[in-house]
Amino acid sequence: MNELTDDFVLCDSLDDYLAGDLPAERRLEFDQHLATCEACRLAVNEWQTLCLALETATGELENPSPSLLERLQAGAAVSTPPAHPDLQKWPDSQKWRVSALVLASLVAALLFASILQPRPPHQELANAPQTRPELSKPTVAKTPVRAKVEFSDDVIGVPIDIGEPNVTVVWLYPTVPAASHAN
Amino acid sequence: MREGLAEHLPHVYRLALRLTGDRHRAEDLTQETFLRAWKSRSQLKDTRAERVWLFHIAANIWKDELRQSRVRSALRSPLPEDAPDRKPTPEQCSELRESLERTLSLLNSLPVQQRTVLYLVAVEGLSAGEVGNVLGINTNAVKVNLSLARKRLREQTEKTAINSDLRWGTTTRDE
Repeated sequence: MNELTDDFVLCDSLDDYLAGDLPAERRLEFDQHLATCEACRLAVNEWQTLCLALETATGELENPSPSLLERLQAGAAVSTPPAHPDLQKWPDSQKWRVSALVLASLVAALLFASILQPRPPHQELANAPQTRPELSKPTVAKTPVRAKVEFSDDVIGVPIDIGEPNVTVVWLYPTVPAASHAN
Repeated sequence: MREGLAEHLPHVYRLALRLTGDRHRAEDLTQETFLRAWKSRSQLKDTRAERVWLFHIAANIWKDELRQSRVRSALRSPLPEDAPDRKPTPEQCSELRESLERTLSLLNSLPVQQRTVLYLVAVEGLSAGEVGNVLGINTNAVKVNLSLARKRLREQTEKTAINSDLRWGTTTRDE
């Protein structure tokens, strides 16, 4: 009697079973129930046949047109913003290297400027008389400095004379092949 | 996402067909689904759930569209029979194709929610909970719709079989 009652309860689970809504343990029970209940077995067979028929029918007869895939692929390509043409050519590691070189160049420029700044030598200061004669003006190098400094294969730093003796500007040129800029 | 485009496209398109009941609208809905998915692809955490996620987007877009344009009549109309690729060529006039077309026609004759639920469970293999998430309805509603769809299909199949028997004269008055 109990078995019969259990069977009826399990028959009520048919919809949940077909909808994939039974927990694993109950699903196993229902699988066993199928061996003894012909009505449920028929319903499950009918469902499986229907699934197969629908899968075959939709798969065979309902395919999107090839132009839809093309449109979507084009759309996906358009919605991805391209990087700046110059940056696009350089891999990430190279971009980092260039940034580091720019920073290094700035430090070098500052050092370069401090070297060029005219200062009285220490000895002269030591031997200087106690009475203060007229101080001679510091001599400033009049010839412009145009040294070409290569920092690496990727960047060339060229100090530019801007007319200020204490300031040196270093212009950095990336040594990327000209062909990559053409694109 | 872009890699899975060709793989998921037919499935999303077929769901769109269930929802819209129209090939052109289904293509538009599919296109919009992928474009929206592409824009919000960062929200997708589990790539295994990509297809269900796409279904969810498609169902939401269609719901919004219905809300805006209220094209309810489209829901009840079955797929047009005069679609060019549905016309069987002499080679395609096989019994199998006819049977497949009959099956599709039966599916498309169901109300929109029943045919969509049935498609997602029977063909896409989604559980009632997943279907509920995709369509924004509760699990019980999914199960009721599935049960109704099965019942209606069974009735339709029996009716078709009886009509077929009548047409071929195998059923007599005495029976």
